[in-house]
Parts: sequence; structure tokens; C-alpha cells
Amino acid sequence: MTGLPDVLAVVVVRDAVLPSGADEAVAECGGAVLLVGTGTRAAARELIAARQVWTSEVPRVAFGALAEALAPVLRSVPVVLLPASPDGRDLAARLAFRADRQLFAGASRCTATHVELSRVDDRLAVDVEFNGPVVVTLQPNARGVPEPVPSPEPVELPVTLPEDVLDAETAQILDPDPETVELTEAQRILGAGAGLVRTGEDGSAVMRTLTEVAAALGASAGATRVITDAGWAGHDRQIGTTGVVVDPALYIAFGVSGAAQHVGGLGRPEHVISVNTDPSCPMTAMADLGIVADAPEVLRELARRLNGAADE
Amino acid sequence: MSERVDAVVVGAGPAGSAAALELARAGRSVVLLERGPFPGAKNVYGGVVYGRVLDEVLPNWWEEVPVQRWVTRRGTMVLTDTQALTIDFRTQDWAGAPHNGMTTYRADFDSWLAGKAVDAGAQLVTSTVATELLRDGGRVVGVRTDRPDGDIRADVVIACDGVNSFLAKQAGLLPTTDAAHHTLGVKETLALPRKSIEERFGLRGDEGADFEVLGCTGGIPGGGFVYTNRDAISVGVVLSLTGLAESGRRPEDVLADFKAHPGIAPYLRGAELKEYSAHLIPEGGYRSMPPLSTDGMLVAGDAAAMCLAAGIWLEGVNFAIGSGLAAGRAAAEAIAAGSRDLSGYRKRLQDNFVLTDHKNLQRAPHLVLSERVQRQYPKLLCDLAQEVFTVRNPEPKPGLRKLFRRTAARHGIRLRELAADAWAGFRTFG
Amino acid sequence: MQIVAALSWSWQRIEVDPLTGNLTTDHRGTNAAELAALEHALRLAEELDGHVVAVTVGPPEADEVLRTALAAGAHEAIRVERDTAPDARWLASNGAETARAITTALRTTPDLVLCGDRSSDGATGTTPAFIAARLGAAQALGVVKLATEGRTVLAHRRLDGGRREVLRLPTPAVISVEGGVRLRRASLPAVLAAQRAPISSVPFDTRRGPTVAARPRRPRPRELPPPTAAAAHHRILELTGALVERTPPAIVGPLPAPEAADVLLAYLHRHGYLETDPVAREAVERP
Ligand SMILES: Cc1cc2nc3c(=O)[nH]c(=O)nc-3n(C[C@H](O)[C@H](O)[C@H](O)COP(=O)(O)OP(=O)(O)OC[C@H]3O[C@@H](n4cnc5c(N)ncnc54)[C@H](O)[C@@H]3O)c2cc1C
Ligand SMILES: Cc1cc2nc3c(=O)[nH]c(=O)nc-3n(C[C@H](O)[C@H](O)[C@H](O)COP(=O)(O)OP(=O)(O)OC[C@H]3O[C@@H](n4cnc5c(N)ncnc54)[C@H](O)[C@@H]3O)c2cc1C
Ligand SMILES: Nc1ncnc2c1ncn2[C@@H]1O[C@H](COP(=O)(O)O)[C@@H](O)[C@H]1O
Repeated sequence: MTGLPDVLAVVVVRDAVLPSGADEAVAECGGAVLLVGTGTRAAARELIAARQVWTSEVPRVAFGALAEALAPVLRSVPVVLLPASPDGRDLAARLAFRADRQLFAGASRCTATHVELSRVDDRLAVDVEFNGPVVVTLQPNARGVPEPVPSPEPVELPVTLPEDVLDAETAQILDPDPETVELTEAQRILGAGAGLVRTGEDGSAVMRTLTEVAAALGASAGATRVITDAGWAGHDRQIGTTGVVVDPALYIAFGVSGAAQHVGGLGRPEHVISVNTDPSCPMTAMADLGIVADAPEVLRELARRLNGAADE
Repeated sequence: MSERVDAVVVGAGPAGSAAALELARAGRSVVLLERGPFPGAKNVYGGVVYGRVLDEVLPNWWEEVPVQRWVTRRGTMVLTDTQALTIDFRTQDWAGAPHNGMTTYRADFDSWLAGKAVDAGAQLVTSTVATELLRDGGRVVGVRTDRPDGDIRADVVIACDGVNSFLAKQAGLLPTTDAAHHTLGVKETLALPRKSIEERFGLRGDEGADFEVLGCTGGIPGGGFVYTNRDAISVGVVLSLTGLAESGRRPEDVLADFKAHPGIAPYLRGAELKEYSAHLIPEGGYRSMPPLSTDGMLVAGDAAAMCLAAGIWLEGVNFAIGSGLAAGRAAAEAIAAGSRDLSGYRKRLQDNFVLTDHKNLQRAPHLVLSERVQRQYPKLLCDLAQEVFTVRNPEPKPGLRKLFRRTAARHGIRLRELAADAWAGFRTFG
Repeated sequence: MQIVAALSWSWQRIEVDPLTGNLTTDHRGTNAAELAALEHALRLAEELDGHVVAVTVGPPEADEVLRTALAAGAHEAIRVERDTAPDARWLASNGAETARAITTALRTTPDLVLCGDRSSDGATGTTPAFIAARLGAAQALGVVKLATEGRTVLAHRRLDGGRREVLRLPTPAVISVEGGVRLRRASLPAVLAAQRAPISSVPFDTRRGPTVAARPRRPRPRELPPPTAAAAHHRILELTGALVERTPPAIVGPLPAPEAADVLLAYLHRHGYLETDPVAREAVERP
């Protein structure tokens, strides 16, 4: 018998690296966690919230096979909770399907009988009471982590990956792009949001101007997902929980609303300036200096002053 | 390869959709081109549509038209810096079908009307701009669009591309610049809870109010309006372009002053800005209308300056629909007859309200935008009202006639001019 | 090669009343990531000699997105009949039902399924994983770059911390992509032909999701590790951040652009991010 508890965190580990939100997921489950993946024992030592750790070391991270292998092991666990990191999200659905459980994705709170789901860019909380077995994913940054406890000795829980499940093959793991590193290490960042690009305008040109203005200030240019999705900036430029996590001293946001997924990747800048037409948007509310103004115009003005750039 | 249809209509505003509807109903293949992502996406107007013209589109249209409120209260306001005089009229007769005016959003209304054309068989192509007329000698034979393989040929092209029509200019029907015959409309949509709107404007259910205002444009010839939607208010000013240029002011400042006027501000208090927009309005009326057709092409709606506008008076959508229907029918007839003669269009317009009203009201723009109507009469009327309503005990009340003479004299208005304007007004609007 | 592009017809820009949690929204459509998925599907089809089927699960109005797909070059379009209200119950659901709807509508197992990485309302990004589970397919989700190597598809997927995983995909495989690639502009003849093209509609019986209650979200109190300072006084200071020097927040404006730039540059100067006083410099430059 495995002795697994009723509420268990399942955390995918790659090469001994824990995903973001791992400790929060563990804390939400009262300290009980099963680490699966590669380098699980080493990763166990990095946890600060764990009181009971199981490890399942496998040769590769492949979600179809992992779901197949874990489903029977977790049969006795009513609530399986994964951090909503890329690997957690992707395993959760496979696991839920394989074990014929309900999936509740994107929770901000989870107990043995109830989840609070965060929806509509974190503006709506949806409460659900459940009774059957479930799989839940927990949003990172929602709960915080408690006082560190010494990590216990992990218990091995051997699983075998089946060979007959089709999965993608990992060809390579790429380290962060040099571009990304430049942004993660930048002390000053200018961020572009949807409000910096007028409807119908070509955002790529706007991003070029922003990059020039940034250069004149010794800063790097970043963007929200709206900008990168539109193809106006590379994905490396996307700041946020699913993008690049940065930690500058100065952040100047142009037309950024300040959604939690964006701000979640901002670190703790000492100085924040928000240029936005909406004085009550979250970005302006959290800024040291909120300037209520038309961001495209302000950028053009800055370009003119700092680079002597000609007005188009 | 280039497409070929019986008719191409450019612009899915009210005029274009009406034209496409009639062509489709007559069994003609018709393509309706619209530059926006959907009809009405960016179209700007004040907010009231006079819907009776829709009788020709659909019986009982009021049962399904996307209405905000049915206007049951209409006011005409005259403002000075510190005063406001209102003629306030309401009637429950307009609350029931067939109604008189309705407030509606263009995104909803234009989409609805275009939907009628599509239901009848027209092909609507959105996110597509007509960039050029295709010609064969002098004859218009189609349009070029900004899509790959974007030429489309047709027996008739109907230009419904709105004020300052690019196509009408290309066809040589409109001069390339014409500031004198245009006004600029700027407008804000302000969100306000439904309940507050009903309390402030004295409305119930889906009743609506509209106010047209004179003397609120800081001396720039023009006027203002306040319309109620279900849970938003539209407020705007219409300004003479030349007057605006001379004043050196920015239109948004004029609008801000209007909104701050003590007679207007209480209606808007606490409302939250949802949208700001600006658009040109053809103001010339009958006298500045371009020729309405050329070989292979008809022009309808604002593109043909069909909008009936005189400062505070704005009826454009109904005229656009009226002229669009006429253009569609005339084109369908010509195509059916294999004829190049499109003169049936003008004849239809003369026979219905479109040109008849324009002809009758041809002096209106000039009169309403005149110095006296814009500046002197508002002051005169407001002062007169103030004199009448001020109680000066122990002084006795002066007679009304005396008050009138005295006030008129103070404003430098001679009774002869007043009589002349009254007569002009009577002939114009009577 | 059979390639499916799954395009949602989801509620866009949902507003939440901050007091009551009531939801309002007025239109539905397809987001940038899904249009990027369609573009990828079309490109892969060109490269690998494929046949693209556009699928949506939605009400009759959703035919609009299918016609967009047909105009852009999709060969076939299928709509699975289902309507969803913009309410909490729908938002709380996840992609399991949608994936069931999509897979039951496909007659054969496709080689590739391209999805957006999330829809605009449910937005959990789980539909593609459920599709993969149902088809027994490999998955590559949250992909930022797609390339081919011969007839094999390589997908770059985001991992934590800016790392990326390059996946070599077998078939069948499900790929979900972030936006970033624009859908091509359709030719006028193609747009007109798409309006006349047939769209097959497939019925579907939805299972009801769980009962839910919704309210405006307030961030939950975050648990923090206890402060480390020795003295109680210092621990309190540490917790409250009272010793960290911060500029008092200020909101200025509305300002016209030149004044806004003045304020911004002056702030940067005051806090040592700019050497020269920008306002003074401007004054010198302008005689
Ligand atoms: C699972 C998931 C992961 C996500 N990950 C990320 C992530 O990593 N990074 C990220 O950024 N987002 C992410 N998002 C998206 C995020 O939720 C927001 O949708 C996004 O950050 C909003 O970007 P924005 O501020 O540019 O746009 P909007 O929210 O549309 O805001 C635009 C702002 O511009 C202002 N504005 C408009 N016009 C002007 C003007 N003329 N001048 C000045 N201001 C103007 C408006 O007032 C508004 O505040 C994620 C979402 C989900 C569901
Ligand atoms: C501030 C303001 C207030 C007004 N208030 C009122 C009112 O309260 N009541 C009223 O009845 N009228 C009002 N009007 C007038 C009314 O808006 C117009 O008369 C009416 O919209 C004219 O309709 P239309 O179809 O001719 O043109 P439009 O409504 O302007 O439609 C033209 C269409 O053509 C499209 N288009 C333009 N060029 C191209 C191209 N090259 N290729 C493809 N598509 C193209 C445009 O996108 C648009 O959809 C107001 C106008 C303004 C500006
Ligand atoms: N109703 C739908 N019809 C077709 N595809 C869908 C639908 N809903 C979601 N998808 C696909 O699944 C992706 C992720 O959606 P979601 O799981 O809702 O975040 C979307 O980007 C689409 O590609």
C-alpha cells in the first residue's frame, strides 16, 4: 500500500529543476507531494513546503505515458493537484482523462471538497463543490509559500512508463534565448501593452520605436501577451507568468492594463511608471507614477526628444 | 481571374445595405463591400433613427430592429453661458408602433440591416476596401479592392461609401475638397446606469429622450445633442468646419464646455466615458448635391450629400436608406432591361421624400447656421424668458410687448430682421 | 496528410461587475492564437501536401469563422452544434466536452490537429490535451515555433524560466500554438466562394457541468515566510516593508503628450535614471 493521502500534489520535475508554483501546490496539499520526472530525489531537497515526499523517477517526461503510469498509482487519492506550470497543465488533462476524473484547471484555492477557480483574467472567482475524484491545477502566485520546513527523506514510488503510448520525443532542451537573458537581466524595462498600438496600426513599427527609446534610456523593451500574440514582437519579449520573468529596477508600462498574468512576471521593480488613459487600471494603481495620457503620443514625443527621431 | 456580378455596392452603411437589399430582392447578383470588420464597426452618428422608411424594408420592422429606446420626449434647448430655455415635448403616441424615432447603436443597426440584405441573397464581403474604380472608356465597369485578385466587375456600381466619397470623387462627381459644405460631428458615449437615465430624463421602460441644442458651441456655428440609450448617453456637438478653423479651438474642448454647462451637466453627472468619436457630415443639402449618377455608377446616402443636416437637425440614416432603396431599384431595373440608362434613380428620389424634403428645406442649413440664429436669438430668447419669469416687486410687471421690444433692442435686433427670419423659417420648415 | 484546425467561437472581452460579479459581454469570435493555428495548418499543408479541415464547436453564427478558414484555404469545414452562455458554469468547465465534440465529429483520426493555446472564455488551454488523450495522439502544447525537418514536424514549446523544449512529433499529434503568426489575407474570389461553400453540421449532446457559484475575485491573502530579523521591532518593519524607501504613488493628468513626457523624464531624472535634466536640456535646445 502506498499510504498516499487524500489530497496530493503531483509535480513534474525535469533534470532536478522544480517548476514554478511547486511549493505553493505542495503547501496547498498540506505538504504531501509526489515528484515525477527526472532528477526527482535532488529536486526533493529544494522543496521548502514538503512534509511528505514520494518520488517516481522515470527516464523521460512524456505526458501520455506518464498519465498511463500514474493513473493506477493515484487511484486511492481523491484530489490530485498540479501546479499550473507548462508541464503541470499538460499532464493534468491527460491524467484526468486516463483516470476518468473531472479536471478543474486554473484554481486559486483547493480543499478536499471545494475549488475556487480563477477566470476572466483573474477578475472572477467561481466556486465549485465536488464529490468525485478530481484533478486540479493551481495558479502560481495565488497563495504564497509558508515558513520553510526541513525537507523529509523521500519515499520511492516506482512506476514504469509503458512503451506503447504515443508521445512526442524531446529532441533538445534549449536554454533561455540570449534575447530572453538580456530581458531577464535588464535593470530597466519599457513594456508595451495593447494601448500602445492604435486599431489598424502596425504594431511592429511601434515596437521598433519603443526599442529605440528604450535604448536611449539604457533599457530593454518588453511586451504583454496581446502584443506578442499579434506578432508585433517575438515571444521572447513577452513578460509574464507564461512568458519571461524579469526583475528590473525600473519598469515603464505603456498602455498596459496590469493583468495578473503580466504583473506576475514583473518581479519587484523599485520604480514603476504607468502611462495609460485609464487612471483606475491595475497597472496605474500599482505604479509609483501614473500618467494619464495617450501612450502612442507620449512614446512619439519621447522618441523625438531622446533620439531626435523624425516624426513619421 | 476577376469576379463578375450584376452589381457592386461599396459601403455597408444604411445606404449600401438598402441598395444591396433591393438588388438582391430583384434577383440580381450583388456584392456588398465593407471596409470595417463588420457593418457599422466604425460608423459614427448621433443616435436617432427615424424608422418609418423601414416600412419598405420589412413589415413590422419594429419587432426586430435592434433598438435602444423609442423616443417619446423631444426637446429643443437654447443655451447661453448661464441660461437654458427648453421647449419640451412628449407624446405617448410615439411609444407604440410604428413609433417615430429610436435610439440605436450603429454597430447593431448597420449589422442588422446588412443582415437583411444577406438574407435576401446579397454577398457581404467585410474587411475589404474599394481602392479604385475600374473603367472601360468613360464607363464605370467595376471596382478594384485591396484583396489579392481583388477586381470585381459589374453592370452597375453603387457608391455608398459615406461622406467625402472617395468613389464619387474618383468619378469626378464630387470636388476633392469642400470644407464649406461640411460640418464636423464629435460625440461621446457615456455609460450611466439605466435607472439613473430613467430618473434624470423622466422615462419609463424603453422610452427615450432626445434633445437638440442651440447656442452651446462657443460661438462656432453649429449645435449640440443629447440622446438616451438603454444604459448610456450620447452627447455631441456639430461644428462648422470653417468656423472651427477660425476659432482655433479643438472640437473636444467645445464638447467639454457643452458637457459642463449648468443646463446639461446634471444629466451627465457620474457617467463614465465609453467612447469618443468624430466624423464629417455633409451639410450643404440640396444646393451642394453632386450629380447622382454617371455611366455605370450611382451615388447614394452621405456620398451624395443626402444627409438632411442643419446644425442641430440631423436626419441622415433615413435619407441614406431612402436613397439606397431607390438606387437599388433603379439599378435592378436597368440591369433587367439590359439598359445603361440609370436616370430612373433621380426620378425615384424626386417622387419620394428624399429629394422633395431636400428641395423644400434647401435654405435650412444657411438659416440655422446664420449669425443671428446662432448667437443673437439664443440670448434674446433666454433674456426674454428671464424677464418674464423674474418677479420685481414692488415694481409692477411690465407688459409682454414692452419686454419684448426692450430685450430685442438690447440685443441690437431689429424687429424687421426678426420678422424676415421668421418668414424664412416659415418658408423653410413650414 | 489530414490536418485539422480547431477554432473556437468564444466570448470575447468578458466584463465582470466588481460588486456583483455579473458578467457582460456582447460578441463571440476567434482569437489571435487560433488564427495563428489556422495559418500554421495551412503552411504545413502546403509543405506536406495536406488537406485542411477547419472545425468549430459552436452555434450557427460560428460558421463565420469557418468561412474565414475556407477563404484562407481550408479545404473543408465542420461545425459541431453547441451553444454556450457566457456564464460561470461555462467558464468553470474545461475542454473535456469540447474535445469530445471535436473528436466525435471527425470521421478518421487526423495526422495533425492544430489548436490555439487557449480560447478567450474558458481559456484553460485544456481542450488540446483532451483531444490528444482521446485520439491517443502525441501532444505539443504552448508552442511558440514550428518547423519541419523532412516530413517531421518540430515544435518548440515553452518551459519554465525561459527554457524551451524542442519536440519531434510523430503522427498523430496535437499542437497548440500561441499567437504571433498572422493569418494570410484571402483573395476576393476565395472570399466569395467561401460564402457559398457547404459547411457540414454535426449534432452533439452536451453533458451538464457541475453546479457553481461565482463572485468577483479578490486576491487571497498570500502566505509569507515569517520575517527573519532577530528583534520583534525589526521583524515588524520587515513585514510591513516600512524601511524600504518608496516614492509616494502619484497619478497625474490627463496630460497632453509633451507634458506627459516632461513629467516622465523629470521623474527619471529625479530618481537617477537620467544624467541630464531633460527639461533643462529641452529649454537650451529650443532657442
Ligand atoms: C493562461 C494565461 C496566461 C497568460 N500569460 C500572460 C503573460 O505571460 N504575459 C502577459 O502579458 N499576459 C498574459 N496573459 C494575458 C493577460 O491575461 C492579459 O490579457 C494581457 O496581459 C493584457 O495585455 P494588455 O495590458 O496589453 O492589454 P489590455 O488588457 O487590453 O489593456 C490595454 C490597456 O491600454 C490602455 N489604453 C488603451 N488605449 C490607450 C491609449 N491610447 N493610451 C494609453 N493607454 C491606453 C487601456 O486603458 C488598458 O489599460 C495570459 C492569460 C492567460 C489566460
Ligand atoms: C456626429 C453625427 C451625428 C449624426 N446624427 C445623426 C442622427 O442622430 N440621426 C441620423 O439619422 N443621422 C445622423 N447623422 C448622419 C448619418 O450618420 C449619416 O447620414 C448616415 O450614416 C449616412 O449613411 P451612409 O450609408 O450614406 O454612409 P455611412 O454610414 O457613412 O456608411 C458608409 C460605409 O461605407 C464604408 N466605406 C467607406 N469607404 C469605403 C471603401 N472605400 N470601401 C469599402 N467600404 C467603404 C464605411 O466603412 C461605412 O460602413 C449623424 C452624423 C454624424 C457625423
Ligand atoms: N468551441 C471550440 N471549437 C473548436 N475548437 C475549440 C473550441 N474551444 C476550444 N477550442 C480549441 O482549443 C484551444 C484551447 O481552448 P481552451 O481549452 O478553451 O482554452 C482553442 O484555442 C481552440 O483551438
